[in-house]
Parts: sequence; C-alpha cells; structure tokens
Amino acid sequence: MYHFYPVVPYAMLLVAVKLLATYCYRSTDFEVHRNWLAVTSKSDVAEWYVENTSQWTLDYPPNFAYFERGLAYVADWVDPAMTEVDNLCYASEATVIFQRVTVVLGDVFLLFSAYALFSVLVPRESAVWGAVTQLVFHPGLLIVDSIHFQYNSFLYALLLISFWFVSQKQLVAAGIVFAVLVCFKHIFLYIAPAYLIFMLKRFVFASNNPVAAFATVGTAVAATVLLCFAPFLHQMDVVLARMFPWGRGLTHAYWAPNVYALYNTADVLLQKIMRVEAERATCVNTRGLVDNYVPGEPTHAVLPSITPKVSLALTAGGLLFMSYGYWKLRGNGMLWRFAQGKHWDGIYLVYELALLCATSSIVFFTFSWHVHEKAILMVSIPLMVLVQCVPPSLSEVINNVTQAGTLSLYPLLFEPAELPFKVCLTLALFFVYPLTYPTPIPLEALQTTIPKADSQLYAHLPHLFVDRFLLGLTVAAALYQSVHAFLPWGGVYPFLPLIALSATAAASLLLSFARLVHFCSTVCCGWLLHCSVLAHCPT
Amino acid sequence: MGRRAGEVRNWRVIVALLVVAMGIRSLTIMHPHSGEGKPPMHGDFEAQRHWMEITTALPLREWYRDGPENDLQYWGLDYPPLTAYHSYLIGAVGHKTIPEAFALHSSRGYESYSLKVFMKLSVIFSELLVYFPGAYYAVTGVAHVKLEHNRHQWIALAMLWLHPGVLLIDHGHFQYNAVCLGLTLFAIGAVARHKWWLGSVFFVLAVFFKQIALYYAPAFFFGILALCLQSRGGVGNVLATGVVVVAATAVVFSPWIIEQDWDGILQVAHRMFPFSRGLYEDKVANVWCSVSPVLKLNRLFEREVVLRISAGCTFLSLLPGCLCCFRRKYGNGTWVAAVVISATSFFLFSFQVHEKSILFPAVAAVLLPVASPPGVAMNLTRAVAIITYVALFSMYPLVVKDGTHVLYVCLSLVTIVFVEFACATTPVWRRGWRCVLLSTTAVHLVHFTFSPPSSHPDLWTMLFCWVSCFYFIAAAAALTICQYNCFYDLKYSSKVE
Repeated sequence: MYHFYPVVPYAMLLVAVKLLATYCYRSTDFEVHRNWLAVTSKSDVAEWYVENTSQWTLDYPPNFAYFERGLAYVADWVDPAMTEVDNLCYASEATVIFQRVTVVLGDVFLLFSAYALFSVLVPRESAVWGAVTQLVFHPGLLIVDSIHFQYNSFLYALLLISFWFVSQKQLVAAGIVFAVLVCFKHIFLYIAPAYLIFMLKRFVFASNNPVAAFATVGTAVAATVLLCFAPFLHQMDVVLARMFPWGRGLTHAYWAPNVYALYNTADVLLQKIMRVEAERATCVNTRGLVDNYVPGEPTHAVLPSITPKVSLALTAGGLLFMSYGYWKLRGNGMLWRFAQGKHWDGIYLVYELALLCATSSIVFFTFSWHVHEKAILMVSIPLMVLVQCVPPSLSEVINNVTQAGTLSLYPLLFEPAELPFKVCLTLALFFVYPLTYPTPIPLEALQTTIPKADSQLYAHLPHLFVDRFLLGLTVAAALYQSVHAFLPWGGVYPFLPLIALSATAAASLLLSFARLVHFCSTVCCGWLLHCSVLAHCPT
Repeated sequence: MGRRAGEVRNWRVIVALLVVAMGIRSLTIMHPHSGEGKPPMHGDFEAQRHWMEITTALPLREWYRDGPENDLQYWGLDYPPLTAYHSYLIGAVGHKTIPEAFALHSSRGYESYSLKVFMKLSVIFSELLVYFPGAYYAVTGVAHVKLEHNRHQWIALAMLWLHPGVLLIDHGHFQYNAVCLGLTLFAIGAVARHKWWLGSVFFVLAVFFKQIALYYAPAFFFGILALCLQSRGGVGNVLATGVVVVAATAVVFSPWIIEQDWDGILQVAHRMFPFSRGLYEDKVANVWCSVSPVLKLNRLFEREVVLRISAGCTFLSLLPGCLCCFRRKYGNGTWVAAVVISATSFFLFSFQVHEKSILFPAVAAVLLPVASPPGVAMNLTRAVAIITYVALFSMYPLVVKDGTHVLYVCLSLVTIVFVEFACATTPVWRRGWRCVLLSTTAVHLVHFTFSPPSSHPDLWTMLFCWVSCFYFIAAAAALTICQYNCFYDLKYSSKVE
C-alpha cells in the first residue's frame, strides 16, 4: 500500500537516538510497569485487578494488561527474575534494557503510523518528513517516554491509525480503533467527547438513515469495549475503582499548568500579602504532596474553594461550548457540500477531528480535576497533525504549546545527570525543532481561492508579542527550577521555583489555548477545507 | 539578499548541529564507563580521577616521581604535562564540588553518582572548548571553497562533531582524547592555511597533551618542512619553525625549567615512553597482533630488536605517502592524506598500540574529502564513512570489557544508516560496503551465538582483529596508491567549483 522502505533508515536512527537514554533517570513508573509484567504473568486473570503485593497496582484498563502479558512472554526469556511478583524494585541491567527497548519499539510503531498518515495528508515528501520528525522526536515524548518511562508512543500511534481510517472515510473502523485505544489507557477519555460529536455530525447525521447509522457505530464501539473488558465483567466495580481513584486533590503534587495553577498561585500570593494564617489550605499544595480531597474542607486559604462540582461544571461547560461551536461551524453547509465526493474530503475530516481532539483535551487539561502535567501531550500531539495546514501565525501558536508544554515537564527530571540534557533540550526547542517546521501555506495563496468574507477574517492574524514574552518567562522559570536545588540556597523554599514554572507555563499555555479556540470559532472550517484542497493542488 | 539569507541559514544549521551533538553527549552521561565497579584497579576512568587527585594534592615536581605519597604502580601519571595541567584544573574544581572524591589516598577507587556526572561533564566541557572549535577550524581550513557552497564540509563537520569513535571512547570508555584531537585539528587547520608556525605550536601542544599525537608527527614534519622550503624565506623558515617548536616546548615545561629540575624533565620523558611495556595491549587490529598466531615477534627477538623492527616497518609504510609532500606546490589534499597515512602506519606497525589508537587515523581521515578536489570528494566521503564503521567495529572487544554495548549499538546503527542510505549509492561502493557489512555482521553473530573453543579462548576476539586489520591495510594501501597517482592534488583533477 505504502512504500515503507524509506522509513527503515529513519526507524534505525530513531532507535539509535532513543536507546541512548537507556541509562538515564527512570521514575517509579519503571517499577510500576515491571510490576505489571509480573502481576499479569504470574497471577490469574481474575487476580490482576485484585493483586496488591506492590503498591503500584494495575490501574490501567484491560488492554494494557494484555499488552503487559504479551511482553512478559519475552521478559521471561530475557530475565526470569523480572516477572517475579515479590521482586520489588528489581532493576537488573537486562531488565532496564528490555523495558527501554519495548518503549523504543513503540516509538517505531509511532513512526510507521505517522508516516502512513502524513503520506495521505501531505503529498510533498519533504513536508512529510518534517511532520513525522516533529511527532516521533516530540520533546515531550522524549521526556515522558524515553527518560521518565511510560508507554505513550504506541498509544498515540493507535490514535494516528484511527485518524488514518478517518482519512479513508472509514469512520466506523476509526471509532473501533479509538475504543481499543481507550481500553489501553483511559486518559484518552479526554478526547472521547471529540470523537462522539464528530461521529454524530459526520457519520450519524450525515447519513440518510441516522438511526441505522447510530446503531451501527454504537454497536461496534460498545462491542469492542465489552470484548476488551470481557474477562472482568464480573468484577467491574474493582476494575473501575482501580482506574478512577476518587478522593484525590484538585491539583497534583506539581501543579499542571492549567487554570488552577494560576488560581493556586494567586491564592498563595494573596495569603502572603494579607498575612492569613492558614492551617491547611493551599500550603499543603505547595508542599508538593499528593493532596487528598476532603469534602467540606476549604481547598484554598483566601480565595473561594474549588469543589469537584465547580470543576465538573467548568469542564462540561467547555465541552458544550466546543460541541455547539462545532455543530454551528461557519461556512459549514456550502463548503461541506463543495468538499463531498472529492478525494480530499477525508483529509479535511482528519484536520477537523484533530482540531476537535485538541480542543477537547484543552478543555479537560484546563478545567478538570487532578490533572497530571503529562496530560499536555494529549493536547500537543493532535495539534502536531494540524501543524501542516494551519496559517503561519497559528502554527507558531501550536509551536508555543509544544515549547511551553515541554518546559512544564522539566520537573519530572530532577536529578543532576539530566541537567545537561535539559539545557540541550531547551536550546533544541528553539534552534533544532524549528528546522522541522513545515513552510506554512502562504496567506496569498489562500486568499485567491477563499470567499471574500472569510479572507477578511484571515487578515486578523494575531501579533504574538505577549506569547513570546510569556514563553521567555517560562524558559527562565524552567531553567531556574532545574538548577535551583544545586544552588547554595537551594534548600530554602524548594517549591517556589515549581510554583513559578507552573504559573508562567500556565499563562503561556492558556493564552495559546485561547488563540486556538478563537481560531476554531472563527475561521476554522473554511481554512481547513482550503488547506486540504491546497495540499493536493499546490500553487 | 540571497547571500544574507544563506548566511543566516548556515549559522542556524551550525547551532542546530552543535545542540544535537551536545544533546547526544548529555544522554551518554549515565552510560557505563571503563572499570566501573571492578576493584582493585578499575580502569581509565579511575586513572583520570587518580591523576586529578595526585596533581591537586602533590607539588608539581612529585607528579611523575615514585614516592611515599605517589605510587606509580597504581595508575601513575604517564601522560605529558598538558594532561597533568588539565587534570589539575578539573581536580581543582572537583575539590570544591566533591572533596571526598579527590582526597589524597582515601579517594582511591572512589565511585559515586555525583563523581560520574562531574567527570562526564568535564569531558563534555573540554570537548566544547577544544574539539568543537578545532573541528570547525580544520574543516574550513583545508577546504577550497566556503562552507555554504560545499555539502562535503557539512558532512565532515557533522562527522567530526558526532564521531562515533570519539563518542564511544571519550564518553563511553572515558578518556580525554578529544582534547588532543582538537589541538591536532587546530594544527591541521593552521598548516592548511599556511600558518606553519601556528600549526607547529598547536601540534606541540597536542603532543604534550597526549604523546599518541606523535602518530601524526612525520606528516607534520615533512608537510611543514616542504611548506617552509617552498615559500619565500626557505631555510630561514625552517629555522624559525624550529625556534617556535623549542619555545613552545619550553613553555610547556616551564615549571620544571624555572626550578631547574632537569632530572624531572627526564623523568617525564621516561614516563611518557614506556618501552618496557608490550608490543601491543590486549587484542588490537594491527599487523603485529593479527599475525601473532603464526609469528610472535616478542618471543622471537629481544625487546630492542622488536622495537627496531616495528619502527622500521612503520617508517617504511609511512614514508611514500609523506614524501609526496615534496612535490612542487602540493595541495591540502596531499598533505591531509599524508597525515592519515602516517597515523595509520603507526597504528598498524608501531610499538605499544591500543585498540583506542584507531581513533587518531579515523578522525584525521574525515578531513580527506573536504581537502580533496570536488571531483573525488564524494568517493572519499564514502570511503571515510565505511572506514569509520570498521574503526568502530574494531573497538568491539573494548566494548565488551567496558559493558558499553548500548552505546555501541546506537553508534553502529547511525553509522550503518549513513553508509547504507547516503554513501553506498553506486554499484561498486554498494558491493564493497555489503562485503564489509556482511563480514562484520558475521563476526558479531559468531561472537554472540557460540562460545569460543576452550583451546583458543581468544579466537573470537582475534576474528575482530583480523577482519578490521584487513580493511585497515586495504585502506592504507589504497590511500598510498592514490597519493602516488596525485589523486588528492587539485592540479591533476577537475577545476575548483
């Protein structure tokens, strides 16, 4: 189908670079995944979600457990001691290399799926490689997967495969792949609303018989999920309790750069200014503990408390806004009819879905309860799919998300050995990654084909001075946070630099999010459509 | 306008390349190093640390002398003074950061996370200060045209900054070869710019950083001699260069000279040239080691005789290449080829060769395509890429000893991709490269799958030596023949672009 031959050398290079991180710092997630290898290989399926020898119990959906079971067959052969349940914190050299290699294989999978997708989306060969490079060498993935240790890359590969099915206009298949993906890692529920509304608009209500269409896609997705959960249907309460541990605090130990990071920061500042003696309140947050939520107790010292209901309402409101906007998308009727039946309408659908996914993730990342900083990948990676087609200034907004998001991940790597890498990565964010940015489609090329009304909107491309300024602050905060612990006064106020980084990254990201949402609510449809046309008829 | 845009792009590509090279180095920090967790002697990492301990704790006159405080049997300082000064500088910083790691005597065999990070960082900083600018200076110096007009220069710069051998030895095994190589590259760049006095100063510094730079000495001697004689001034230039060399040497040894410690200088020289050691260390891909199953030179002759035989063979093999420098108005290509031939001859035939020594011919060879006429540059790039791969392969026994397998696999993958998809693009080269790739892969497979016969436990290691030695000899012979056919001379090839 595709000529995958050119991907082979690229895959070898990718393996070489990612494997270099083998001996870098690895977080407790390494032990988590080793434990899951042991649990899934040594205990019965019924025991998987009950077994609790280690504190790192299995808390991902079943597909991930099956995946670990599959890996365990090889792991047993590499080092049998690795798959012993009682062998807590076992990390022989063979174990480390084996687990690192499995992550790198996930990266290779991501490479192939990205190549397949971008070969459809972008006909220019050089631009394909630029886009692929941005995805597989995504700095966030480098930090979270290759060093910190998680398996995200192959999950995003599944997401891209789902997108690929959309580009082929096989929406049911795309839905099934997405259902499989959610049964791997439930954080992908962040983009489930996007899939839901997209399916409703583009598949259910676009067909002649909406009821039958809904039944088709509903059955397919439900059957997939049921199949994945089949061995655990009798103990769903246990499984769900593991997957969704309620009772955690509003923010994680290190505040993910979202609205609540700014809110917490404001609370801390007000507390200092007004000299409020708080017994519990925000101080707990700033001490970096995973704070538990106790209903009835105030979460903040000065500002009003944020209860789960408030967070839920904000999230739901955001999602409703997104859905409404998408349903009423400007220029929808005429342009969509124009697109239908042409060979590039599948491409248009991918752009649309990617933007929806990013928006949905943005809503969850910004407003939902107990967000992890790693969740920024959920925003950044769907946006990478779009980078090929958006107007120049918006592609800079997307790069801004990647850059600020990556910087906000720096506290994950806190040991001195990774400090030089963080410095190099910061430089790379501004000097190396830009080389892979595609040449954006020039404004003039579009203005010749788009309707007059739309073209006036394109003229209002924002100036990014404030964005640059905030990003600069984030860079300074991230670098200072990285070296703070090694400075003579490093013991004093250890969490102050973390707060500074959270707050600056939050400001930078929220501004970029606002620009993206503005883009979606104004020029989105026409723009994407014309880009998908132009992608196939370059001027 | 277009020119300015081009310049901006150059600047950005150089910075990007630098950041990538640094980023890759930063990921190697936690890789295993030589002798990690292997008491009592450990390895080169411990040697370097020990020198920092000695140089910071003892007065200069005792650095090279056996004494109550300085046991030369335990990694005694046997590198020239510049290495000692370099150790002193790093040790001084180390005393401020991790005092217990450099305390006299008590720190022997000291290992810790912070020491490892500190030492690896010292390599990265030394490289950043000497090797990176040196490589840039050499590449732009030996080239005929400006950087932006020639992609071979970009390739050469990338190959030097990301040289797999340097990464494996300096960042994996742990040594400071890159400083010596950087000084040599500065010297090559200076001589190629016809600044022979500057070149001789840098070369003297390189030699007094690590005596192995003497591998290049014949080429520098003949090259600079020819350059002096052929330019205005003639014999006067030669005398001036001699004065410069003596002056530079005097500066390097000034602490001893000021104290009038002539014995000390002799002791340094004695430590620098340990002729009492063997013909080669471990298993090396050179001629003496490869023929050892049938012809054991050490057992046949006295040490004196062996020394003479090896020196004689070395000079016989390097002389033809070096004498080419006396052709009228030789070009940079001829001279760089002479440098490579000289280093290769030393590696193949000289006394006391380590497997790491292949780094010295391999790094100099990267400059060959840039220095040669454009017509032959592509073929030379291909040859150099393949030889770089073989050089990496020849160091595999060291990889096994140090446990740096992961680094080795990564570097081999990158090199293979580069050769396979960017270099071996014509049928002839493709066939040659397949031959190299198949033979090396076969050796790896044999080594990986079977255990060696109990009667010859070193047999698999010898396979590595034989295969790589074969390719090295072939490369050296091809290089010399090409040298004689004026392959590298601008005059005889197509005109400059």
